[in-house]
Amino acid sequence: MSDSFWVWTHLAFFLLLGRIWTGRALHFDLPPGGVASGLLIIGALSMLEVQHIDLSGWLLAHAGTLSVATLLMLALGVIPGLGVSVSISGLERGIAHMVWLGLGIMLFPSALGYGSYDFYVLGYGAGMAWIALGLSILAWALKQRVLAIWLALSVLTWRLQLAESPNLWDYLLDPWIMIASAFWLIRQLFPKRKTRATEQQA
Amino acid sequence: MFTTRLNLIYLALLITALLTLFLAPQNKPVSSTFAEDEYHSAIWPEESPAVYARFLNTPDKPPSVHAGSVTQLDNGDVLAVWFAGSREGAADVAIYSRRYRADINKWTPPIVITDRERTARELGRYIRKLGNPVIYTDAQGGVWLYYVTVSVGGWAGSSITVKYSDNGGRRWSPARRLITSPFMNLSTLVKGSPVRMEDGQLVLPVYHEMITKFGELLHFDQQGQLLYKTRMTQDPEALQPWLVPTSSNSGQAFYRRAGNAPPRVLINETSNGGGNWSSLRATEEANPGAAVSVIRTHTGKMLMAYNPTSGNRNQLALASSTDGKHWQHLRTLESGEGDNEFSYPYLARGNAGDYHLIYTWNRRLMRYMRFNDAWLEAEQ
Repeated sequence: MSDSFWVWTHLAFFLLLGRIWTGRALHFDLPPGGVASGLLIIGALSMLEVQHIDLSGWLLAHAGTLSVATLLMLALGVIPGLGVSVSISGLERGIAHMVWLGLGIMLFPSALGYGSYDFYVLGYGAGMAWIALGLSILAWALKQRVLAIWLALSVLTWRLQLAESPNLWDYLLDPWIMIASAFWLIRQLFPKRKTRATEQQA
Repeated sequence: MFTTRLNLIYLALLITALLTLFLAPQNKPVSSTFAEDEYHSAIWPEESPAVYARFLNTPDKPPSVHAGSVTQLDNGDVLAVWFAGSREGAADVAIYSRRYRADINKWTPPIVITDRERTARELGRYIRKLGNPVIYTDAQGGVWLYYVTVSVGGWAGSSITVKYSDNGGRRWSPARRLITSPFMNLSTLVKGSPVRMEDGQLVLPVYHEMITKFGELLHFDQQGQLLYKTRMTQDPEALQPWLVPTSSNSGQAFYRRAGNAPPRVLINETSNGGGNWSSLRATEEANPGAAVSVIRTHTGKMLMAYNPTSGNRNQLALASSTDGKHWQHLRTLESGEGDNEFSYPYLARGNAGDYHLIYTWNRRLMRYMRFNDAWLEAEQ
């Protein structure tokens, strides 16, 4: 395992568990210092070896390598716990989730053998990276900051080969962000229905 | 305040990404020309022996063996590999190797190249099982070992791991995982031999078997870094491709049938060095859903090792063809009954105009054969 990928796997472990921890900590109104202490423990846990493999290696084996999109969304969930406010509108999040869901629907079935074209092969060339950077600038101009940062960060980490893959798609997307996006978008429908149901009961 | 900071962070990120794209070396072009010795005939040396055969392992040590592969090194040594353990897929399965030393004309005892724990340590991730080793000597004499590892689920959850040796298989690099699928890198397996391209690049035929079954060609640069991949089949019913170049740009691939495909060996063709492939069609040769192995002989024909029945693996035969479509039976290597299994043949060309064959013998033994064209063409 390369040193850079070692960092990637530990970051993934840290952010995934850190996101869960931060969610619980904020629920119980824990101060930023308390959240940070928990995050430090999670960072240390990540390095804990079980049968000669770090705990992050166990997570990696079962969840696969997490993409920049997933890491970014996890990070956006962790940062508020440290007392730093991140203001991202529901619309901006919604558009990002729609893009990830749409790209996932296009990419994953074709990679599994459905359809005559495999979109995954586009990710081997620099051409797609230039397009991604162009779209990143466009997204920034349209005030879609999550999408803009996601695209630029994916290209940068791909070019520096910080993860194992030589393919840009693996930095952009993974199945988890597609599933999370689908759930997030579906969930936007339920609170309204719940409110209506509550109103009817009242 | 937050917006200003974010603008600055984004600007720095964008400039760095642009710089890396400008300054980093451009992508290497993918070769589309097969190496000449992959499709040209060679001169047959008359002093070579006609046939030689032996088992490479001792029965029950360990009890279950499968999926052999063989290569000849530049110094004449032969290196054979297979996986073995208490049963296929068990946690104790390891990749075994045995070497024929040409200088003393002897086989050295089998050794373990790697096992589940060692691979897991080297990859830094949990590995549940491993299998299907493929070994290959490149133009510079480097030896590549590809094998599949599984972290989650059955064989359909495999990914390919690679090790490299620069001293003839005596010392191996740490394992490195190939990322070949965006879907958690699940379901890429290897069985067929790599093929050398004109500029020293390698192509490795692999296959997917999760949900749909299809072949792919992985393109590597001279350092073994994955450059690109090509879909070999659109029909989701073919496994374990073997690529046979027939000229500098054209080649044929042979497949184990799967799913609803007819019980025949399947074939398709490329005319641009593996870039595009024709539709699959069935040959006249039977296939029970078992691996086939096909190579180009030194006389320019094709040689196939396969199970020539549609129902089981209890017979193993060799056949030859001039066009890959029509085959002539040459020899029956094994003929058993009932549950006998002679399977997973792996053919490789030798350095001296001969051929190496390794196959599973009733899941208990690895059978190795070395023979020449004279033996193939002689009356049985």
